[in-house]
Amino acid sequence: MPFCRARCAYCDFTSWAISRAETTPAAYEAGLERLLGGLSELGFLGHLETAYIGGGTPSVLGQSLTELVARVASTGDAPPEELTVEANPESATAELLRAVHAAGATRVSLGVQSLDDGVLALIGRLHTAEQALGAIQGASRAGLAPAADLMAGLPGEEGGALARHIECVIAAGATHVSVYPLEVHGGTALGRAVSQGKLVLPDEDAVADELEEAARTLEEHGFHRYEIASFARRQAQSAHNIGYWTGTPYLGLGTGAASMVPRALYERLREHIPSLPEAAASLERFRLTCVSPPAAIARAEGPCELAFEVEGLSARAALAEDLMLAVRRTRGIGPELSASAREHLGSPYERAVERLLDLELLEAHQDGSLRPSASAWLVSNELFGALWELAPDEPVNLA
Amino acid sequence: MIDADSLRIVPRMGDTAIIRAMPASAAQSIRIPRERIRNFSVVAHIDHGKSTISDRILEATHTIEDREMTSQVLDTMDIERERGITIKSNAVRLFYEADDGETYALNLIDTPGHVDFSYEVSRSLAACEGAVLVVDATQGVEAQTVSNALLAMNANLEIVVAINKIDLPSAEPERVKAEIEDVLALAADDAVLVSGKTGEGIHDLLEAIVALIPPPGGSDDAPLAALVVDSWFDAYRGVVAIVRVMEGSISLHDPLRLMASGAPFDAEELGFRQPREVPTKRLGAGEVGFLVTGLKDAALVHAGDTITNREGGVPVPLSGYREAKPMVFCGLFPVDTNDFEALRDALERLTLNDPSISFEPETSVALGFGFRVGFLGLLHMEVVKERLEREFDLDLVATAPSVDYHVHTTKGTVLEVKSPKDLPDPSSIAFIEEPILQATVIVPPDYVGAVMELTTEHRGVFENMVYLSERSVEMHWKVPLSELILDYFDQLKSRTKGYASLDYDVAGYREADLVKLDILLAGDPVDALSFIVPRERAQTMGHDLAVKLKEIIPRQLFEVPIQAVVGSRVVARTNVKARRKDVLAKCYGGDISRKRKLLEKQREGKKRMKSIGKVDVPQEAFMAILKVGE
Repeated sequence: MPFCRARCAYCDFTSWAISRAETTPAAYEAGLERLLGGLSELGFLGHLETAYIGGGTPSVLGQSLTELVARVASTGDAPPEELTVEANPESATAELLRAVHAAGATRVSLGVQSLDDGVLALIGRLHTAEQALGAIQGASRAGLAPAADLMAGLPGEEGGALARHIECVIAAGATHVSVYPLEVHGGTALGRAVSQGKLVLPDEDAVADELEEAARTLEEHGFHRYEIASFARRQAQSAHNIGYWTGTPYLGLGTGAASMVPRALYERLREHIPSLPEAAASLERFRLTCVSPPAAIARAEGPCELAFEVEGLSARAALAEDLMLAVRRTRGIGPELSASAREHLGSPYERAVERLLDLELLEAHQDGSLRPSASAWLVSNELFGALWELAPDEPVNLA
Repeated sequence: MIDADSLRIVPRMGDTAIIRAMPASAAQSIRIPRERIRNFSVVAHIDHGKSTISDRILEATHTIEDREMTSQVLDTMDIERERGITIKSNAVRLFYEADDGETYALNLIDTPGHVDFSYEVSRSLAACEGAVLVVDATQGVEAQTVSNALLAMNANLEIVVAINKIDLPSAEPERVKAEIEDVLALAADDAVLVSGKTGEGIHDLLEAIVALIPPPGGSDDAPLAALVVDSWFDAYRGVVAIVRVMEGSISLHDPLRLMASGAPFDAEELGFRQPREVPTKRLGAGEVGFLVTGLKDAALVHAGDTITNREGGVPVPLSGYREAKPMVFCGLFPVDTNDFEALRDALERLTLNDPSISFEPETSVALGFGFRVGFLGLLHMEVVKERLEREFDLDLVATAPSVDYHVHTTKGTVLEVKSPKDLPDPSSIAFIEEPILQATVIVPPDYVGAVMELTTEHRGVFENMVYLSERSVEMHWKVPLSELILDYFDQLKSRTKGYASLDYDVAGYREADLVKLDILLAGDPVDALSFIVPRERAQTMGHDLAVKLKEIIPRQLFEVPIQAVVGSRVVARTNVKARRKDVLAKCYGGDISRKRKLLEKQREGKKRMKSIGKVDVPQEAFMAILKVGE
């Protein structure tokens, strides 16, 4: 759902402010429903394990979000076990939360970011701290598992603010907390302010301190890290997100939405979507990004009209990608993946692992897994880089 | 009119191909009697408009049709155009129909415009009877105005003064005229007022060239003496030289020899550059043209050498020949150690065209196998490095420039040390001598104090100063070359708000109290970061360098101590803190490709760094000493 009421100062995702969009969220939503119907009829959506309605800000749809949730929930042979809806606090009213739960949602992901109203205004958020805590409580009461996203590295938040915010969202009932360091991108309002010297952000050490303190606070409250940035109470991990890190195929619908499909599924999709290019036999995994603009989605009668950018990965590149994604998780590289990497990537893999063990970024566990060390989390790029480097052939962009 | 046949590509190896168009009428080798030949150069202080004036002359004589006009036609290398400087000499024959109704052949001999190349300038001027001295109407006389004018006067040239940029509101032609008379003792009443930008006054300038510059002398029947103005290597034809016939004449297939190198050869092709090559059967006394020698070794054909008849010929060569001697040295190492042979090939090919580059293999513990390469000066060094990277697709690490030290050992021998790491143990050194320059600085009187302070800080020894006019003072100094190649020139510019101009020449060797400053990264010495410095400044420079390196070296997974050391004494230390945050934290479906691309970019960045032990060191670290003042 690539619409927001306003763009946040730091955001470089595909999203339009509603006032500037060429189409209305309602028309777009209707298009999405037709696409869901079409894919369903073609047999692609027989069994949905998880679903995620994200954005943008899906909650800008207001009550018609409920219809979309219901449509998703009724698409497969049974409702997905996990159905998350992303929402911004200002539009996540108690009423809406109850309605989406009734329609089949199990979880809501709330963009809280900070609980300092001054900071929220500075980064272009449209809600207050009070609204954010209210939304978490509302979700809890509605029977949804509330997940709260918070940011580290925000200006003026050095010195313990993030840890305090974490305690507040936990007290309000969040069962899942994600903590991301603020990323500054060129071409965003924030990027401009920083490059013009109008805004000074906390330095690397301050952000590292914040992130370390955040992790400590979460662990103290019974939240366990299961991925670099993701912490949850027992049973509250996001199965959908874990799918992204474990090579599980997924289909994304809508402008900018991403899909990952293995060869067989790609070939099946090609039978129905003529814009998908033919792929060399060596490619095993495909990453698709839907590039149809919102107006095209709103018009679309069926999936055959969609346009995509397609990237193909060889089996070996896909393996390197799996390794890179595996070390995002506390579970790390499991024995099976490790064995497969040794077999197909050979000695470069062995050497990379040896080096990462030597640098104390990885730890070998008795069960045969290789897990990121406690000190690795904040410098994970070193891990990702070393493992992705094993991709013998870069991904191929298909025309 | 231009037809397709008159468009031709003239390849110059190592240079970009030159595509030039000629009016069809000029495409044959027209013979012009000697009294209607004018050989001249255009000289100026940098940025006074030499290249634009040359362009306007080519335009006005229809040598280049308007639609073929690229800015700065004579600067054929990309680097020359980009930097707005001339590096190679060049010569072009133009035809000008003067107001007297006669057609004149004007040989415009373009000279390099930088103090690194002053010898090449002197050889170009020796081929001329006159020079157009371009002076900026807003700036007046500057250091290279003076040095160029002196070079021209010493070569007995008739000087035509052109005051340029008269279109600018801040132009003060009368003031500049007075300054030229005061400072250069040149009559400036007849100075031609021009604008390279608008073309105003170019006709007057051409008339002045014809009227004031004398035709060349010499006799076709005398024994041959031809001056090599420039030369380059052509893959198909061997070495091609631009020559000025001073006495005698050269006919096609004449057996000839070079007097300095002794190389015999035949005149395989002769012609004029107009600017496309037009063949001819003979170059007579006073003419300027190209000569294909067929020689395969560019080192045999140096600018300034004399060509004469193989048998007989002139008994003594033309005066002024000097071997181009590199003065500044740096290590060049391929980032990818597998590129060593490619670097050797590239250097060999560049020296074909530019014999003033010297190189010998150098091994560094830190950087592996590379070369110690010698250059005429800093600009020359930058240009060569850039050409190696651009034209030969090499990724290079350059170490900080050094000079050629003469190290007198206690055993009484003298070592030439061009690389700091070759400096022997202090116990075996009796004393060290370093190259000294005779430097001339011209500044407005207000800045004399600032120049005094700066130059003294840089171990300059003041000799004297002369008031050139009320507005400019010429100061003479002896300054070590090693100071000049660090940051002296930049600081001179900044401390005098850009008003100072500098010119220099080699002035021998002087004893100095010098020591080697070593840098240790994570406890290990990095030979490529070593440096020879004056003993009394070792501590300050060690500190500044350590701090600069801390800025340049990115944070690593572990803390990296940086130490500056003289002998066994640590003179400065600092640390690059361990990296604490480097993570792409948000990574869901749509992010995965994006994040992978970021990682690939990071990897590319890392590839450009040099791993020294476990420390990744960016290339610019090896030049850190040059950036200390920034």
